[in-house]
Amino acid sequence: MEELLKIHDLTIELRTKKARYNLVENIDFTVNEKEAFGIVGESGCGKSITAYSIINLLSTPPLYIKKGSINFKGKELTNLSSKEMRKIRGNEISMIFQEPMTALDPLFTIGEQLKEVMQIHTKLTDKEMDNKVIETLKKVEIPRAEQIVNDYPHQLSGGMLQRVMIAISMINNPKLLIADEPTTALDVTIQAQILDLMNGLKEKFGTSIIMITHDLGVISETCDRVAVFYGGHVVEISDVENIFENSMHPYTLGLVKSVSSLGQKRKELYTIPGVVPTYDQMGIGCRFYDRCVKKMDICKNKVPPLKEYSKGHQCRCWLYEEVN
Amino acid sequence: MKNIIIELLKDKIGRIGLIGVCIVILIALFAPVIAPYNPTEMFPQIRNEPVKQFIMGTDNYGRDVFSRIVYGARVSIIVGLISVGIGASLGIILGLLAGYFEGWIDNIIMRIMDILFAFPSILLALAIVSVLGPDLKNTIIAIGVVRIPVFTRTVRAEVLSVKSQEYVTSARSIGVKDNKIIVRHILPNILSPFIVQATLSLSSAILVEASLSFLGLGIQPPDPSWGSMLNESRKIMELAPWTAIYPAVAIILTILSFNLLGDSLRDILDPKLKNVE
Repeated sequence: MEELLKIHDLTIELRTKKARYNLVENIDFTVNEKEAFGIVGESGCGKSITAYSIINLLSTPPLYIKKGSINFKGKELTNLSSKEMRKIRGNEISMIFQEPMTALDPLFTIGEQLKEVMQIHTKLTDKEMDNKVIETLKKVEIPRAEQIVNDYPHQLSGGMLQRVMIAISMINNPKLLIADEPTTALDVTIQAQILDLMNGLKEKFGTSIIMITHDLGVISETCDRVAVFYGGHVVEISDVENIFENSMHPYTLGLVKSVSSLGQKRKELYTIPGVVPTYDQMGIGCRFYDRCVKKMDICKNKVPPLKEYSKGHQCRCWLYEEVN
Repeated sequence: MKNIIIELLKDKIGRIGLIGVCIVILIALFAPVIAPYNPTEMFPQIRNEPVKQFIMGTDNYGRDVFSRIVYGARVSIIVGLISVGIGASLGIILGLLAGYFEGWIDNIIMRIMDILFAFPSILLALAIVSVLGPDLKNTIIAIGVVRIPVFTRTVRAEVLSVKSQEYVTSARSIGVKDNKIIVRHILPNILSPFIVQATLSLSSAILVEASLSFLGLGIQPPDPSWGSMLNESRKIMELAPWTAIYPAVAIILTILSFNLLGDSLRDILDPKLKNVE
């Protein structure tokens, strides 16, 4: 498999008047071609800003890329001018968002919004665009596509709107689709349909997907590999099967343990004690230190390195390091 | 647009406001047809009380009060529309820039607006007119400048809230340019509060014009203006009360109509009620 996107040593900084904080630090991961890569973690662990930084959608100020590289098909994205970046957005890399209800402009019809992407990146005639709009809407399994192009966003349901968002993001055949919690705002049955749809599209278009979520269930259904984020660090990267069966990092263990499943009677759902430290309370050591059940002395003052322990399985924890 | 007018007509307050505003605008448009005399023509009957020949009486110089009020409407509407036009267009540009780009642009624009805002509007208008000299054009400029900060603030606040909407991020995520995002996705979405602000501003622009003219720094006699008519009748109010009452009533009704219209528009254009069918 070929590498499509390679993020190396990415650090994103929040600059306030008083101080500067590294919201995410030394992020390292690779997304291969035609692969679904999951990013999982709690709220505020830096999954979204990592994704936003790929196509430079960070709100600058106050967020800045401090160091690191984001390499997409051999092109360094962090050095692109805003004009070059605009050519990539929506064309080679596109994005779908959490809230389909607010991600579409309420004043334009569905058809107009689908056409907007093509107007920017292609030179199709109006007629060709109309045809392609209908064709794409059908590909994302929207019934009555011919009528829906004239509807406004408020006339459609959340599930429908998310399909429209997917259509907008897929219409130019991007190489990479970033999905920022695409199913969080939808109810469970619709979630399953949307996930199925995305799985299907991945096959049909050969697109790689970065799936950001806090739901391990979503990861297990859609992804090939997964990175676990905690407090702005990647703590573990592995194949999806491995993450459930052989998780290494104590945080991942806790996360897997706290997944609820049907048919199992449990008195109480497992929770990881404590809360995520806020960015101004992070110590200099492992960021999971306060909540970790297996903490050691070394964890407090030194961040463990992200190392590959078996093929394709990386972890950032002192437990597996030879004591030094 | 058509829907808005229908909604306005359904609303009792909106209906009164709309009718009132239409009447004033029609009077201003057709002033030469409606007014029986030239507003500056002086008749020998000075301070004549309202009779059939002069339905609102004549003033201290024998001019027909009714004709002057009709032509005064013209001045009020012209001053109101053009000055609000100036204030609104500059305000919307500055507000969009400040709200969308934030950072130092925002700081510079908004601090200047704060300074402008610190002066009471009449005082600021007075200062501008006394520098430029009192006439119709300068009155319009002065009132327009006074309105800029009001619009800038309204627009900026709206831009900030619309900008944080996901559809703006999503427009950026498909590669739309900044200027296109502003014109296509932000501007149309902030139009409602802007229209309401413009309507309400019309009434206060008219009021400021009347005040300036009353103080002798607005429209210069013998040209008719409601404010200067009030000023002229100050000394003869006991002798000829009609010279004060009619212009005052004209001002009150006009301002009231614009305010009612603005209030009703605000209710109709409220985004929370907008999409309810």
